[in-house]
Amino acid sequence: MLLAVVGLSAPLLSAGLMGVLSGGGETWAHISGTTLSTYAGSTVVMLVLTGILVLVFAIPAAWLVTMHEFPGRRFLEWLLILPLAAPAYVLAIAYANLLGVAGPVQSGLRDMTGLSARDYWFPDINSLPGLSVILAAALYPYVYLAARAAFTTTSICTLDAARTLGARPRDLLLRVALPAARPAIIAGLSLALMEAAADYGAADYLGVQTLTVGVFRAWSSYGDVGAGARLALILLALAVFLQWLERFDRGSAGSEATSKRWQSLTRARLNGWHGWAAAGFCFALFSLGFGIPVLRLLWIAIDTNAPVASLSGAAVNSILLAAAGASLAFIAGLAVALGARRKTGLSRLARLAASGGYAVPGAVLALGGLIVIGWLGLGLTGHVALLVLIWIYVCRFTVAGAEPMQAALARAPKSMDQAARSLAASPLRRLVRVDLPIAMSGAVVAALILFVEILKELPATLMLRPTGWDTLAVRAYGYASDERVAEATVPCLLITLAGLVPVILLSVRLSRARPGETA
Amino acid sequence: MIEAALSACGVTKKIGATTIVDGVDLNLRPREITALLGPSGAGKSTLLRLLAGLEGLDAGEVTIGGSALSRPGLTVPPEKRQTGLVFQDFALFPHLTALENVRFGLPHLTKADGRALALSWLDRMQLAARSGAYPAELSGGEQQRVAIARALAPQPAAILMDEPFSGLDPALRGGVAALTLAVIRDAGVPALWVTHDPSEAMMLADTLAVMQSGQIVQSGPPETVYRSPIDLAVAQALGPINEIRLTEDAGVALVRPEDLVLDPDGPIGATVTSVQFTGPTWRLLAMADGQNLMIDLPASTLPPASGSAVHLTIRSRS
Amino acid sequence: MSLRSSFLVAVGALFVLSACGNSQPADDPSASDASSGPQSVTLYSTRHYDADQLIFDAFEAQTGIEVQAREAGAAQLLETMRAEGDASPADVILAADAGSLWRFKDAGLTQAVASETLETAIPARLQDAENHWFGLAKRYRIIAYDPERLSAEQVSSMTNLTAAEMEGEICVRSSSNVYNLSLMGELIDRLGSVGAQQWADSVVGNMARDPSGGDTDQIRAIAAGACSAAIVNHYYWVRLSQSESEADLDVAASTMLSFADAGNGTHTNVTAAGVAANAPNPEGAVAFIEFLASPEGQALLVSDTKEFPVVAGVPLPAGLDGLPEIIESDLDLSTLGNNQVEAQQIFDRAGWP
Repeated sequence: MLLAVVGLSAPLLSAGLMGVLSGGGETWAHISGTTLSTYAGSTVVMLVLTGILVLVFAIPAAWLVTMHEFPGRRFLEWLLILPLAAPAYVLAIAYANLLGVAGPVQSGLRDMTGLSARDYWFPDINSLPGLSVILAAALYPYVYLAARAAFTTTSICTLDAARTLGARPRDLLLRVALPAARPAIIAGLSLALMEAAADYGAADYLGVQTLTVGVFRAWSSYGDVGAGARLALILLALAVFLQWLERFDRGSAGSEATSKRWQSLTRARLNGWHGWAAAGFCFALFSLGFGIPVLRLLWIAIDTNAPVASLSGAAVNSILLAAAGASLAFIAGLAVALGARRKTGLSRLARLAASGGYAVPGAVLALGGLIVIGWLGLGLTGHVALLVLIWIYVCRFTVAGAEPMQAALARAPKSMDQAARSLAASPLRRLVRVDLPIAMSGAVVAALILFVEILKELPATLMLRPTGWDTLAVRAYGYASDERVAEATVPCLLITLAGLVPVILLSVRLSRARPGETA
Repeated sequence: MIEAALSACGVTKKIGATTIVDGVDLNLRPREITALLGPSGAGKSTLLRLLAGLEGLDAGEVTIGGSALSRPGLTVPPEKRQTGLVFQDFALFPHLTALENVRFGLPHLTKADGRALALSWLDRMQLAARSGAYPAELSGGEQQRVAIARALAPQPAAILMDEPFSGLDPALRGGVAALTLAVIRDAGVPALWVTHDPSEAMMLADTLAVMQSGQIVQSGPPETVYRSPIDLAVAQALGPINEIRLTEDAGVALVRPEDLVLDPDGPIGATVTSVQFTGPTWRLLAMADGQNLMIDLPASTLPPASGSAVHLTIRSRS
Repeated sequence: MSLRSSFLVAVGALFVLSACGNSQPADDPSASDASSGPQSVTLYSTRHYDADQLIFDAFEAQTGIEVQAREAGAAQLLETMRAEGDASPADVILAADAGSLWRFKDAGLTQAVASETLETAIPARLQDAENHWFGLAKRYRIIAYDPERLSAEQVSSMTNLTAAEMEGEICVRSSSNVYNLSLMGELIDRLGSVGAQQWADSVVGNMARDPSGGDTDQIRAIAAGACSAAIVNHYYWVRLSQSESEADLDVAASTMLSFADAGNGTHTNVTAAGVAANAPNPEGAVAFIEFLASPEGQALLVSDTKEFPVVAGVPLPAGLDGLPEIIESDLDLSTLGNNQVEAQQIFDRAGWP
């Protein structure tokens, strides 16, 4: 467990330490004098905009699908989760192509109106607001899922009570359901914002200079790990804030689902245009985050007859790295989940280190890995690079694997452990015979989530992969930044396709989570 | 099997400045089921956890057969003290069958012996046919019987049950309780049964202990505690009771509703305000000298009409 | 049951990992030891084209030396080599800009090469003065324009872009891009620091929009009517003209190229290669660069990129034959790297994002 704590926190801590220690060299002087305010400013604006959009997208959608009946509701309910499958950089590549001045949207607009490109204003996708919309479209499912779960489980009885007290539908949402769901929504929002802050691919592709892009550039353009670490300090502070936000009034969130009986939901039927408007809103959201970009990429791939064959090596690398990283992160996640049950100081630290790794961008962790390697006096070659890369994957994603297993353990009452103790079971026996099998009921979901997260990972892979280990994500990004969007489409689509598997599995599980509801 | 009493002596537990359990003395004898009654917050569950070794105590001692299990600074952990635990939520291992759950506490036996012993306990709990079922496939009553079989199979020195039947359907409850308590009594171990159902406790336990504000205020055979409560609070803990002031000086008499009988020559005059049918009895509510009274009459009698004047006398008991 | 299978998956994945870890000859320094077994050369390249594999195969068929390639941006490759230090497996560095090679040389990551073959095949102007790198394919940074809005005369020179009549007409990518830095490196040499600064200030004043996207996006913007002139590398337009997409062909058809004068001839840059300072297999590295300078290597090198071969007599790839005559700048390409820092400073002062 001590090993887990040290292993999981080393990259993060060394990046932080280096940031404090590095005396602020020439690069730092240059960055702080020129681009630092841009980096920090655009990160803050991006987070605020993304946060607002995520809430505006997710909460009405969750409210509509849980509390109302409208055409296509059951189908839309799970379509709305699909954007989780596509990484933000895939959306960025698709939308930059679609909405650019020469893209089909603006061309069509000009053809229809006869205007020239200079006669009208059109929002620029290569911009801070553009990036925020794309991130929100990719990340809103975090809040959607949290809000949907909160609306379905906690407040049915409360809502029924409120109805009998004469509350109007609007009051139900604003005065009853939203306050009750607030802890869950804030937790989901902070997860979405962590992902947004960690994004490198979409921001870099759209030319928005966020802090994460800055960290990457400090390394790649200036070769100054110290300056990168200094920028990373700001991101670390941000991560601490978001972590705190996620735990913010968890206490009241703990009151959920005290009753084991499922209330069957009575949905309000939306008739006529109300129903179609609700369906339209949900469908538009799904289209924004998944349908449109995927169709656009598919169309480009077919239109340009994009080559597929040369990708087999990258696909194999992706699968190997994801399998290796996911296996180790799975084991670490299992250790963290089991440790969390014991509540020793050390296991708490391990959990903290793991969630810290998730809150911090991959670029920062990779930087920390480079710093550790530097301190150890090793060269980043071959096996060392491969091991460091997998180590960074483990640091970043362990908590994503621990989460489903911890949830499985949390469903088992505390008394179970006490019962085992009263049956003279030693700590080891309780671990192996009781906690481990229970945690394993979350294993499939955990393993799949880990596999796909690593498959999608971009910045750390870009920075650390050894020669010959290009992944699909690296290839997709490389082609796209080399202005060869057509060739980027196939790896983008493959990544998205792989991402669909756990997302669909997850949505099946979620729909089974309410056996009382007529499915 | 050790046939020894599990004893608490001056057991005290504080959380911060609050004393949750306050100098409790309790002696659990083999072959005897002690029901621990009291309002919520009285410290019943904490006392059980102290006896089980799930928590350390601040003062006093828990001993079994004279050897110390808990005292300040020493807590023999649950896995070393051979006390069976049964919980309200059953706490069965969801990934193990009923048989495997029972066998969990028998790792020292060979597989065949363990199976045989576990099966025999399930059989005593009338569950032999369900031995291959997983907890999710069992009803609440079945799950609790498995949990009790699991607790008894390793031949514990004592068994501690925290509201074991309150999660069950009322219709099933009596049957499950009667069966399991009989098996436990049969097993010959001291047993503590935390419950908030006084009628069940009186019916099935050998000894009652009534707990209030962290202290055991009265303990003894059910009938004694029921008939001769030391104060109004204990009396109320076991069932409805009338406080009757007979004369200015004589103070207050505590009288159960069934101990008030209609008697035309009775000393207490009252006016019936309401007549309710409870099944086995008629419950009359009456007003006498500004006091509210409850009177239980056998259901076979014809009750007086609401509003009629009656005379009552207190049934004497030897 | 599901417990057992989950474990099997995890254990299986670990085995796969350890197995694939062992099957990486490129990671093992001893594998490139010339005296034992099949040789290999590790290439750090900023290119990734399907034809690259054809080059590697042809080279292996000729010499028996296998090529392992790592592909990434120039800056990343440079940092990777720094991190790898003495143990770097890189033998050859191949980058799509002389300015990039200059950075590798400046960082001490390349070594001097003595090769008669390269000296004779490649014009001296396209080589490093100390033979740390050799230009292998030429590209031109030129002006793409809308023939309906601008005359050829108006875009005949980079300096014409500063004219007042060009206000609101120019599209160009961001200044951090090495192609723009190299162009500015030449302008500093031709116009002097003050003149180059004035040029940058004026072009910023004439921009139709803030820099966004790559060179292809600028050409598309012209076709869409958002601007009428853009500074681009010639091959981005050529690739559009050779695309399978109808829309791309339309873009190429509605725009034209001007091989504009950059002070004294068209700004020329190269895809260039050098031998890594700590190359485990320096002989193999030189052999590979020499192969790239051979007629066969040259043809493969430019077939997908639509660059121009540097060796005389090599046939041009499809799409390049119809282009107007080009008068190349005679600038020594080492100058581009030397002026790089000043170039960025000028752009920063001009407010060119």
